[in-house]
Amino acid sequence: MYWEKYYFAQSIEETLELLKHYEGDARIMAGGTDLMVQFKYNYLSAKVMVDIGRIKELNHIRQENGHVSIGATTTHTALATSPYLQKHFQVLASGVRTIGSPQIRNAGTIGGNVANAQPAADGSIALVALGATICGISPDGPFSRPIESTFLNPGECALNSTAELITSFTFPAPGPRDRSAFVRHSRRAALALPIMNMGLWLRLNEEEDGIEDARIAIGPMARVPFRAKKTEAFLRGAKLSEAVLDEAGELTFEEVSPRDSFRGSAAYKKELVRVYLKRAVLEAVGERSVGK
Amino acid sequence: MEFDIVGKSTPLLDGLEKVTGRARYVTDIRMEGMLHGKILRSPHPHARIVKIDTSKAEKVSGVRGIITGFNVPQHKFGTMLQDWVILPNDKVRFVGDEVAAVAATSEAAALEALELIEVEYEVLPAVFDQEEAMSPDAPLLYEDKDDNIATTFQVERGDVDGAFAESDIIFEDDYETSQVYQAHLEPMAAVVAPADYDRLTLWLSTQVPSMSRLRYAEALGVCAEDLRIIKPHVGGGFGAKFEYKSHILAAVLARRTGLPVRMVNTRDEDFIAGNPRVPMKIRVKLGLKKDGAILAKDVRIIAGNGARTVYGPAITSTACYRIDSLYKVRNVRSVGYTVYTNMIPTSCFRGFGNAQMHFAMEQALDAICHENGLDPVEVRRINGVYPGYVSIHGWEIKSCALQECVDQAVEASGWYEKKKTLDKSGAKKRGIGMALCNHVSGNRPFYRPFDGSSALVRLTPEGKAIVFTGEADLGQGLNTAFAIIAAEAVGLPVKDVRTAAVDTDISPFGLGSFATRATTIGGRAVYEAAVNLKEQLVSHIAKVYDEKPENIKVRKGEVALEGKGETLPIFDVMQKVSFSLGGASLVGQGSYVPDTVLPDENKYGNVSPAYPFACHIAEVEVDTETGSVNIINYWAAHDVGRVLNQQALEGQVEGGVIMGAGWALMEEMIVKEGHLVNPKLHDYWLPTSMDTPIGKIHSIFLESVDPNGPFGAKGIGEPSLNPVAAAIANAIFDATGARIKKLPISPDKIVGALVNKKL
Amino acid sequence: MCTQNEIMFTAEAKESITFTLNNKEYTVPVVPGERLLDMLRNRLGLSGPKEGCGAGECGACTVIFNGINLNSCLIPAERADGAVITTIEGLSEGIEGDLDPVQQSFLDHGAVQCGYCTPGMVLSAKVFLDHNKSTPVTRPMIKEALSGNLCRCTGYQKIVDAVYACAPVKGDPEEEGEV
Repeated sequence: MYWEKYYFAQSIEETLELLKHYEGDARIMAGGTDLMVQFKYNYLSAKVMVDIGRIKELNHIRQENGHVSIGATTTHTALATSPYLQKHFQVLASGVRTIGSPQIRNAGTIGGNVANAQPAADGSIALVALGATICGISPDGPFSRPIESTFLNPGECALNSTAELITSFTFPAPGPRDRSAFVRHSRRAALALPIMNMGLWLRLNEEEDGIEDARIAIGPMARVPFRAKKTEAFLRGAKLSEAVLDEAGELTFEEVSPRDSFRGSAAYKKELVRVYLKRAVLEAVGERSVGK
Repeated sequence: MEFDIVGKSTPLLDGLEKVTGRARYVTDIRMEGMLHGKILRSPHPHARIVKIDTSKAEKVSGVRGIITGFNVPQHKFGTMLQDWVILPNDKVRFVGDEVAAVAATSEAAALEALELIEVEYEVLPAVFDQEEAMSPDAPLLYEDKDDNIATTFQVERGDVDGAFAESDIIFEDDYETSQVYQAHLEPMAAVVAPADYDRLTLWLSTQVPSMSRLRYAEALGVCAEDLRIIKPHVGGGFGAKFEYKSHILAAVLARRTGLPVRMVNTRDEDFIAGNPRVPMKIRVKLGLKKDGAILAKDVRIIAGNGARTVYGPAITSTACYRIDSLYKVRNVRSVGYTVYTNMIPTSCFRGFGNAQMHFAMEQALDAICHENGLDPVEVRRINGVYPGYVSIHGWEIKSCALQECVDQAVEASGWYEKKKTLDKSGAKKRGIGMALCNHVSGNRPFYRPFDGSSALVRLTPEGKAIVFTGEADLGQGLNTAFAIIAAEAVGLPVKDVRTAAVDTDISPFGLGSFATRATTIGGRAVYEAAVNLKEQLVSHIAKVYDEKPENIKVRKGEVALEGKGETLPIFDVMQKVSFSLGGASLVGQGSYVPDTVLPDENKYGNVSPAYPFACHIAEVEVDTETGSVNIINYWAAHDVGRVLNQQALEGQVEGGVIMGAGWALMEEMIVKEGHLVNPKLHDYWLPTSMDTPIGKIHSIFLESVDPNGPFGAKGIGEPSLNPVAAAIANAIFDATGARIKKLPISPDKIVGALVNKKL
Repeated sequence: MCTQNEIMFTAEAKESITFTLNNKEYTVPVVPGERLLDMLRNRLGLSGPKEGCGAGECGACTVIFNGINLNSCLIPAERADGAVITTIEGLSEGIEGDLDPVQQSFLDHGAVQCGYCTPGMVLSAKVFLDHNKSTPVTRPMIKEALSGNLCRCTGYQKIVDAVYACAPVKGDPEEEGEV
């Protein structure tokens, strides 16, 4: 038996009250795609489930006050098929489109993807590339902090899922020179965790022939989603050219230090990073924008 | 010859219950009082069982029975070697080995009890690689096998050394094939219930109902007659579903508790304790004349048997010499070792060793052609066998359209044009590769007492026919093929014929679905039974209607009495005939005993009544920077003898090609120190719908009309997979120059080969 | 905020749930910790949803849940409360009902072999077609839509053809040229 009681919380406040009432015995259930598997393998036990899937305000994609807000229980399918995100935030729309399978994406939520704290979670990688802020509420009140501070270790996040709740993710509204892309490599085209995935966000310079700002997130290259900060620094101010991209790829190759796993060796993952950094930039800016 | 049904597309006759979800599989069976069985499996690859304490587990509410090696008999039995016991009381030999089994009123109670069984192990050193297991200092799995070699297969014919001395080209290389999982969607499953007369009824998801019955009787110490085996719909087999330990454990628990017991593998259990493909290390040495004619072949194979024997030895021997009936080589030497390791027991998987050897041989030929400036098409043409050829081992090729397969695949694929024009300029390079294939349709030595089949076809008072067979439909469409054969032979519409589920109380003994034998051998028996039925039908009609037998024609469910100039529906006719016989159905009985021989101690003798052939061509695109491979288009030209069901044949080819592509490129059971690292379908990368060719799989069928098969038909199941991995490997080589000789041809290996370092 | 011991939530853990399954309304008691798949198979007698892995990795247990396809092995049964659920049994009424066009197309195209993946596959196809009634449908779109349903028998080609045949607006080029 997995749990004894199952609640549908009607509001954020009620969620917190339920968590508080059960003093650590209750867990939040959003899409359930990870939790149900953890229950199956006895990795998890909880007496009480608090289902937040029916709280309307947690499920949204909206732009307001210069920011984009994504509700925590927004499904991967909703994100992947959002025309707004497809147009302005390719990294997020195509990032979550590769998660699991249609059935998984129909149930799984962006909040759950982040809360699971896997270093190569496609949603997390995309949000890190976007420099997102994670917003939530704890018994002490609402909080918001950089998303990267959420990830502690594989499977371990800085949130207490028996007391705290992620409500949304926010990131700046799209600028006219912002570009993004998501690239991923796996042994098969669906139903597979990535051997390498990469989210890239760029702001082009005013002439649009060079890069003003960059953010690169790569998984699984470290215990948490990895920021390729050296490459980012190199790209800031760089002109777009084949040579620059080759050099950037080389830098990324140098700065990642993945581990061997059965999905791929460290050496192979490094090779992939070099290739895909270049491909991600080309995809983000379009091949024609890059000089020889 | 013109046919009413044969050669057309007949949708599966049991498709309706499948698309509506009404089809019942073993996993769907529920019974009053049914207990749930669960198996405690070894966490160690090799350990001595010191003590098992079940006292706490017995106290779990709902537990009705617990068996261990200390309360079941310890007699040995087995499939090929006597190395099985019901449950061991001495050692466990692989991670997943059965240690105890529980039956309880709920799955939860059974699982709780499993956790409370205390087993004290003394961990022993273990060996995982089959080659290392042969070394003198390797730990021993069985005391009586002091080199861990379960069996050795040896054959030598002609003057091998002399032929090598005469050869212009000598080629030698090593290949390695992987242990892969059949991944049938329905896990291994059994429901066993006590029945009247002190018998047991076993509903099994199995390819071999009749053989299982014999084996389980041996295991349980009862007569085969005491067991009734029913095979309902089966959710795929691909070689996995032969005799299986959990079926026996369910039967023991059903006897002990007197209640029905359901024993269904979880997916994880299926991964760690199924019977995956036999992994092989294959050394091939070939001697050829300048023009590419093969003079000599020398092969050494080291095969991983795992911790007990299922069908590994037969699979190794197949790898050693079956391919000698594809090419006209007259000087051959093979040695194959089937070696125990502390790994999961390995067994049949579509291709049965021949697929492994094809991976080696067809790549070797490709490499030889490349190195010597020979045309791979021509080399295969000059070496390929032909109708009437008798192999060096005495295998008699009767029908053979191998050359035509090559012609048609080459033409359809635009081979020569593509060889010249495929784009290799960018990072993504295209290439094209070819592989030939042969196989059997029945394998005489598989079950030593005999090969053959028998069938009953019953015509009811309403003029509908039911086929009874012991051969097992696993979803491949066998039951429909049998209905087609019977309908065509009797003269009924196929919709009026059905094939009954195998029930050993009713069905004839049937060896089962393996060795691509069921359509050919089983189908021929159905044909004989249908012909026998038709003779009876005509003679009864002659009596009842007072018509000369030669004037009676039965076709499409209508009976023409040509002497009287009358045509009657079969319904009306059978009502009269049946009622004239006291309500009897007419029962046709037929048998087919192939004219094959059990190979002698020198492995000489024709093992199969018919041999299918094929030529496959793969066109791929390789991303040389990431190593990803996309299949662009695929051509599969098969000599099937006769097309019985166009659509179902295509389905077999398409399924076999994608399964082969998975084996070639994606699938891998990754084992660390005897523990399977990826016993999950999301980490075991069998192809999804998105991993299929960007273009299409093009099936081409050649009809060589075999004298033995029903209407000339030969088998398709395994030939559709045999050449796939080699065709793809050759295409990757053509695209990139990377020759990957160890499966899977994963992206890291391709990139590694291209940048010349191990990744 | 609340004082100690004062319960501020109004949610109740339900003791029974009510839902529409295959066009009929059901009210069943809650079995704590139950998966939707187990409720459908063990308590409501359905055999269409199959358990192939229990971990959302094969799609054999797929059901249509409020109009979308989900793996019923990953859904708490409680979540069915208020939902509209269709299993393969609901696509055609009993033994006498007409087949859904997708079912018929699977049969006609030889898209069925062992049948174990078929219920889930048909339901994923059905959802895809329902969502693409006016969009030009291509084979790559179908392949993506079915990518959560593993099939080991068919190699998918006939399945994709069967679904393509049902698409009201077809988007693939007419000529089947080489790619």
